[in-house]
Amino acid sequence: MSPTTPTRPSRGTGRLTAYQRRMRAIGALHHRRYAVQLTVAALVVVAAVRHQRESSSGAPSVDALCPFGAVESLWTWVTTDRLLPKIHPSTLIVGLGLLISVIVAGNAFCGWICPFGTVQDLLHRAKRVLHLPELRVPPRLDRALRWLRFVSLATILLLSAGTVTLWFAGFDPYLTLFSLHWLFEPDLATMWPALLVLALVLGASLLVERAWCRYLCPLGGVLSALGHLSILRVRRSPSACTGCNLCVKPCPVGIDVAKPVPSVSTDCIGCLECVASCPTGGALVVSAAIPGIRRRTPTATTGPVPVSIRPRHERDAR
Amino acid sequence: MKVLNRFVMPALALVLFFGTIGVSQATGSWVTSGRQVVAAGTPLGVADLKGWMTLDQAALGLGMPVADLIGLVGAPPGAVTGATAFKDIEAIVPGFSLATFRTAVQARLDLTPKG
Repeated sequence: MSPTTPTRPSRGTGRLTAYQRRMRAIGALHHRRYAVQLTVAALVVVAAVRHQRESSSGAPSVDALCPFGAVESLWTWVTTDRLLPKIHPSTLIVGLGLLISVIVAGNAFCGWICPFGTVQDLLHRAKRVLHLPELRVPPRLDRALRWLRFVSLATILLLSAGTVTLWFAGFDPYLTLFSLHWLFEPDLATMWPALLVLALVLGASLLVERAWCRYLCPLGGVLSALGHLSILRVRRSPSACTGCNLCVKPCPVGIDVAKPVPSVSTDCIGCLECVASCPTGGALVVSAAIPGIRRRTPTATTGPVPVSIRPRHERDAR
Repeated sequence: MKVLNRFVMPALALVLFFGTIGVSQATGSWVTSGRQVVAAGTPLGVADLKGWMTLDQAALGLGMPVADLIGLVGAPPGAVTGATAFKDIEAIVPGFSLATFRTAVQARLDLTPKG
């Protein structure tokens, strides 16, 4: 067999080719990420079922677990000096937890915890299994559409503060799906706007991977802005990167990871797909750095790890 | 710049996110408004009225006749019963809000002689 021919990763402990090591890294990442995502989503579903079925359990509805409630509450309180009714105080705790998490560990919440992100990832997997086509959004349109997250955020905050109500709760696709009202208390006459939004979002996520996260999630807009303050981030070493672009395709939110900048975009959801896919050690790494402090000499010798950039067939032949 | 094991990122995110929730629960700062048992003898204040409660439950907790509460709602006759939840009254009585209703109930309770 030629040294450049890819082979399936074996379970044995013998020497592995670079391709096999990369496949193993991707597989290990998928197992861990899906396990965490599905566990969190299952916990939210259990909370929703308890709320719906066990009226004496005291189990809150799933909006008690949504960090965006904290954003709406704080904005309304700051701008109107009034508190939103019908909101669980626990959302402030969830929001605080998310803030601490984002400042330390980046937006990994979106890639590992958010149950609605999990649903979109499952849809994408189903699409791959069914061999449905992927819609590629042209880069310029993609960049423009990403601003819709901030439009969505501003609209929701203005209307929440203006009406002093949880205005978005009637349309929030996370709440519509995970509250399970559609299952336990179906009422099309009142729920149709929320169900229509949910259907459109899920339909769009079938066409474009994580369409909600990329283009409309208001919390994603907040986290994208906060991402500039994150200590841990996926960073790219220009000296180690060979420009193979293997990191670009697996990104669920369509970031041009191979773009020659030291830090991956703050739209990054911390899924680590790009890091696992990178065939060059040290080219894409998770690293800690205090935001705002720039390295003095971004030369080839300041990359995170000195690595070989020999052609792949030479490395595989080792 | 310190290069770390890549799984440190999600591990820290999980620990910090759920750790904050865990600490708040351990210290009693975690407050939600889930459904509770409302039984006879469980005294409720007007601030304890929640959208999921029915008028029967509210009457039981407040120690008021349910007919009085139905009267305070201001619904057309027969539109609201003791089994109606406050959150459903909003769709029946335009302009109904639980906050205003609480004020009205408090005023009624203040007029009622204690003992």
